[in-house]
Amino acid sequence: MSSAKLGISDVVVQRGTSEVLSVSSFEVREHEVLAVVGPNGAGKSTLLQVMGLLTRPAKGEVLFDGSPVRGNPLPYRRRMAFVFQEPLLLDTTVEGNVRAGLALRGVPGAEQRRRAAEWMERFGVAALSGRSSRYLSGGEAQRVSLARAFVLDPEVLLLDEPFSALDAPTREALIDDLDQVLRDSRATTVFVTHDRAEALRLGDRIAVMIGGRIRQVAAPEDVFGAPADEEVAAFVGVETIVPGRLTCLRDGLATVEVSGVTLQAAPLTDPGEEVLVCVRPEDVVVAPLPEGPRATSARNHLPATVSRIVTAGPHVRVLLDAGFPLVALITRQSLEELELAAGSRVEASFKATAVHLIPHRRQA
Amino acid sequence: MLSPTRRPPLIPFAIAFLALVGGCGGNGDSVVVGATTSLQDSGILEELIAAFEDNSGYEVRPVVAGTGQVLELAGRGELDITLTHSPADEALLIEAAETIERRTVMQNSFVLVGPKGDPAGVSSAGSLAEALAAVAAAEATFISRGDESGTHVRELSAWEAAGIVPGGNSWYQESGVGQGQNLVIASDKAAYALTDTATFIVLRDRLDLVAYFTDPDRPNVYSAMLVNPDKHPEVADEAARALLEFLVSAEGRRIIAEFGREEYGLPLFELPSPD
Amino acid sequence: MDLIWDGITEAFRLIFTGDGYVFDITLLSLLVSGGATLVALVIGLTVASVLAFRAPPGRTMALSVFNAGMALPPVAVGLLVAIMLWRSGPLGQLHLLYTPGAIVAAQAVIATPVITAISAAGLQGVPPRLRLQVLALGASRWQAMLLLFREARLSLLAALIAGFGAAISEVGATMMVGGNIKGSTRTLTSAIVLEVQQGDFETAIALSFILLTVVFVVIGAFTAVQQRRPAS
Repeated sequence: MSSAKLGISDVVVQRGTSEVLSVSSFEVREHEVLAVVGPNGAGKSTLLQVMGLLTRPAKGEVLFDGSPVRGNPLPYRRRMAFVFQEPLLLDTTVEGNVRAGLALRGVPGAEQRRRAAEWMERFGVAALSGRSSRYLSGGEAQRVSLARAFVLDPEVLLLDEPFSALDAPTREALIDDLDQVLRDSRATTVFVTHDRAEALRLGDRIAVMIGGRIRQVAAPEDVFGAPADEEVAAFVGVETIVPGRLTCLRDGLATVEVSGVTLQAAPLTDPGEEVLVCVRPEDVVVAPLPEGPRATSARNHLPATVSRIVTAGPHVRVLLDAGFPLVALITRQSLEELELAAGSRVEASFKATAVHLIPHRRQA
Repeated sequence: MLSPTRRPPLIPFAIAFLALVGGCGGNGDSVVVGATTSLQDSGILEELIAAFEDNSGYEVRPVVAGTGQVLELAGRGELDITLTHSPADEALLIEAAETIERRTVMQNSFVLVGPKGDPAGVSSAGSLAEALAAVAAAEATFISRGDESGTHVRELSAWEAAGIVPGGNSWYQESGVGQGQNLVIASDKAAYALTDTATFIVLRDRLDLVAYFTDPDRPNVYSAMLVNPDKHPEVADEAARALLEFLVSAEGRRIIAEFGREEYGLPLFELPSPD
Repeated sequence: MDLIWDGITEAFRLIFTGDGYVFDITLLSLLVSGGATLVALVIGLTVASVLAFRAPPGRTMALSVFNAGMALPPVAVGLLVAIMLWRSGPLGQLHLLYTPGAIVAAQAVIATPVITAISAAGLQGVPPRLRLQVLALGASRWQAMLLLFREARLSLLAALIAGFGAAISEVGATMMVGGNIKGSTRTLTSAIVLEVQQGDFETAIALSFILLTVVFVVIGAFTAVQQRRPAS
């Protein structure tokens, strides 16, 4: 197990009279990507800012390489890089922005230019190097912000929901690029997001944060498969996202292995071997176990056990264990008619077209 | 939030800067003289100061203002020596021992000037009071200094002698400005005004005014007074005394007696009749 | 109208014959107002930074005071400064009255609220999280401040221009604390007043023209700096 690179201990942050953050112990290990996920207002940004030495907590301390940070935080800040939700670019050219952090550290001009060129290339903004930051699209600006952070060759990378302000296609493209860069550079990273799919995709470990407290830190399967408490379950169990392996793709039909269970999907493009499998709860049909085989157009029929029932307004979310965690959304009436309760044996069905596959490259 | 920049202590720095710019000329080498505007407007102040500075090596800082302000500042010890022309007010300061050693330095005459054509017919008057009475009778516009200067005080006593209260009438206007500017206003408004001969002669070409009546009774006497160093220890008494001595010295008197002769054909000031 | 034309031709004559008196008063005006603007800039930027970035309680009240300070009547400021600098006054020991230093002080008092108010507004316009981002990039406190000043440079230069304009065009306070002494505290503006007092309008207009030219050149230079853009 690699050592703790950056951590916090007994930290409390207050805003006014309320505690927005209360964490007794939290750390990110060297070379890992730790995704912090949770609902809005959970305190994730505050957590990240405390770790980045940008906010001083009312109590507690930050530990860098195991020793507490005392005195002037500047030398430590210079070993980290922080990317915010907004690009927050300076009023100069793209190149000027990417070089900004290097200039602050007194790096000689020629080296600044060389390193900036490399990272502008990596994030696909080399052609824009002379453009003023005022004339960039949202995606371009965020790429510049990322390049500006990576060019510093930081020991720790802190990313605060860097993609949530972007539209879906831009976000997809950027997540792909970031994923690749993180794999290549093996930088220690803490990545905050409210999007479970992003967390699963990029994180080696996932930390779930609710109400200013860290509820669970574990490998993705364990967080989604065995949530620590009701609130975590409610948060992660909003939809089904599980890792899987695509074993066969023929005539538009893909066979995917998920925790030993075989599923069929109908992807439009080839997602590669390692994938994340997503099924929307509305697409899952729950029925009593059938007597015998019958013909339906749905290609996936999975025997499952009800593990939890969560009421969500007029609907009900049924958390099933089908060999992997599966979430179904049904009406109250159906819940009553089927007489479902924890432990009930049912059959969950969904169509191949309801199974979404996202490429998921795992760290070697 | 971590706190922003801590700046170097600014107040001491600013004061040091000011002191540097202010010039290190301490109290000992300079003398602050309060002088009335007519001395500046006629130009004699500049000549006397230049000669004194060359002669003595002291630096002179002339503060030119109306007599009222000059004497007020003197009473507060903010000046070292005064040069004013309001004998009554000067006497008050001597009495209160704010100033000492009053010496008359030069004099000229008060003159009533007015628009071409003399609409009020003042040139035939026998005294200043009579002339002003003529102005009042004709309701001709009169621009008074209105600032308790020496000129103003002379004007007021003439009104009193004529038994007239000019204030409140629309033809009587008080400007509150210096001697030269007062004449400019009078010229612009084609009005009468009381001034001293020196200022008038110097500015005559720029004005549309004619001198009608020179006051024979009371000359316009300029006196110098030293601010009392016993009452005001800050005063540069040595430098002030040096200036006073210069004004009544042979060289000083020569400058005064000759001032204006070359440029205007006649001297603008005379030496005072012995007190 | 002839008077204005005569004044302008007189101005050219004074400039091209290199008139010593005019050169002296012009130089003094620039030095004194330049110095005052510098002092006001240092104080103003400091206060503006604190108000904009630290957002202390009572900030609105403080900004109201500085905004109102832009409307301070200069002659009242001059009187106040003069009283402070009197021998009997609290700063009498500095012997600044009737020296250029006194004028610098008075003009600085007049220019500081202008620079503070406009700078504060400009710095408040900087996105609040940008300061955090700049610190996260590894800026020391000084570096962060300078970077943020650069971000707000349009407003800060406007503040500088307004402050300098207030200082160099000022005459009431200048005369009250400086005494308008030829060769030491006579500036272009106080010289103009003197010429008007003595009825020499042609010279007054000539000096006004020279003052306007000087002001235009200096402020034009500042504006050119302000309007410099990065390549698009």
